[in-house]
Amino acid sequence: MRPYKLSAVAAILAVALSAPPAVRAQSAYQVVEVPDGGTIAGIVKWTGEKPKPLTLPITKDPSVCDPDKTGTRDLERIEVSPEGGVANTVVYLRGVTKGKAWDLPDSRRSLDQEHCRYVPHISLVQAGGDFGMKSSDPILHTVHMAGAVDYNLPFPMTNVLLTRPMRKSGMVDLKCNAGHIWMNGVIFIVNHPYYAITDEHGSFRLTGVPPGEYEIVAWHEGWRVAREEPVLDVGTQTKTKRLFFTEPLTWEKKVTVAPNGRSTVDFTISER
Amino acid sequence: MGCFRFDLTEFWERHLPIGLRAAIAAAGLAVVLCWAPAAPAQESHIGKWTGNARAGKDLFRRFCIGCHGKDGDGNGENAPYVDPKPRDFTLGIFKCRSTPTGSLPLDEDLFHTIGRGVDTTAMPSWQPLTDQQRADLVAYIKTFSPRFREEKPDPPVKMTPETPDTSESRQRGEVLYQTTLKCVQCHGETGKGNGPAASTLRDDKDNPITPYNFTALNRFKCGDTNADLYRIFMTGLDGTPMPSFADYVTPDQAWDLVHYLRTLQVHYSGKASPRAAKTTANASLDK
Repeated sequence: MRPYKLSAVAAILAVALSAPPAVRAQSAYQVVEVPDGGTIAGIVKWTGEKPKPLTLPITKDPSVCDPDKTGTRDLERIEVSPEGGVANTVVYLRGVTKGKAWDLPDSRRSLDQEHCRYVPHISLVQAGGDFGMKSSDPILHTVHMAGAVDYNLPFPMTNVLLTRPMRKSGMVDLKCNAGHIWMNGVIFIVNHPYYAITDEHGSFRLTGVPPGEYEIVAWHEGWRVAREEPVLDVGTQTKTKRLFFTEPLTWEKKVTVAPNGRSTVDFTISER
Repeated sequence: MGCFRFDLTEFWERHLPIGLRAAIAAAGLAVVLCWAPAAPAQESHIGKWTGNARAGKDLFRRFCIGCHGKDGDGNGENAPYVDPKPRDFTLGIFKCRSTPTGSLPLDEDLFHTIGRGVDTTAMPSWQPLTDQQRADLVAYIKTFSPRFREEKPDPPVKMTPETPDTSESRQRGEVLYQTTLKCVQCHGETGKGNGPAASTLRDDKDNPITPYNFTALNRFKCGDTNADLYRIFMTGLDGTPMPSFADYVTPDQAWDLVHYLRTLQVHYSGKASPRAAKTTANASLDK
């Protein structure tokens, strides 16, 4: 057998055995008219004994971080209303590739740092879109991102808007390296607009959904602590701790949306 | 032996008509050629050198594997004894870059890090290797993270020629350090690395990390020239708490800050060390 034949056979085998790189590229979301779009609404409810909120002592910059002089800060990992609604749960449809125009809520598409909290606690931004960040606090904060993007930006002065492109879809954890170790938040960078975040009553609403069958997912960042580490705040000589959280939790259901229809999907979550 | 053996050569020559053989060969060749664009991640380009990942793999297995591990994840057998921990190449996040925060480094950036080593860490200077070998290592290191196949580095941060190092420049730099940019929060009023936020700092792997102590050291993790210092606070050191201040200072202000920071380095003579000269010579590769 002559060499050229061997190499041709080898080339064919190599192609057959490896995955083509083009397959990895994600198909872009396509905006189309949705004249008969339906609505999916529902509530994420807590069942069982309500979990205690996770808190940390405010060890730094109390005049800015703790205007109410409570001494501690709720980490906002779990918020359950008196009626049992769970806030800050991200509810989305899996794998939608075409549908309504982008309409993610303005209030979720940019970040403020206010009294040493990330506001909103969970942000929602279009993949490839810009994300704006500022600080309302007259002290140093940093937005240190880890996940789908990894910008590390300081905010040494108030009301300076910094904008960065969120190039890849995925999740991003936020932390402040300026000693405010209780500050935590998440940015969701998403490939389609069928995402909602539950309000303080646990309610969500997805509109303009093309009729069809969907998998609907509820995602919660989780409220349990995996481990903790002692930390000494040098400025105040206060002993505190750094908390490390468990992995986020998800719940899935199936939902059918009729033309101009209204579907209801409720999720019940609990300690498990 | 009596057992059935499939002979590919025989099958090819005896059972496939010549036309079909040619068509299959052409199709195979076309597919191979079409896939060529996926190749650049296996190479590095630094000045006149083109690094090859295959050659880099052999070097990596000889020199780097002990700390960075066979999978490049920073979990080599020496890693438990090393502080700060070896870089995890699978993340595609690097401290020493000429590119903005959040961006991949340039090939040159990785090349210089290997040659320079990382001061105050276990990463030595790999000057004993040749330029070609270091370029090969860069090509191989890039294979550990999919980021190098999916993303391109942003253009380097803007750097202007250094302004005169005057007392006025240092004073302006002092205001930036102490007040405007609030560098003191981590690095402390005198640059000892003992600011009020220092004890809470962790790197991206949640390992404790200390801010740079200007008073004890002359060199920095990412070089020892004034240009390196400028670059460090304009790009930030990704993977560490050090952020990028590029949004807040003009190039002239950045030089003011450089001039002030040098006054915190009580042992700094102002003359570039022989090693700094070497690094600067290498930096000419950038052009």
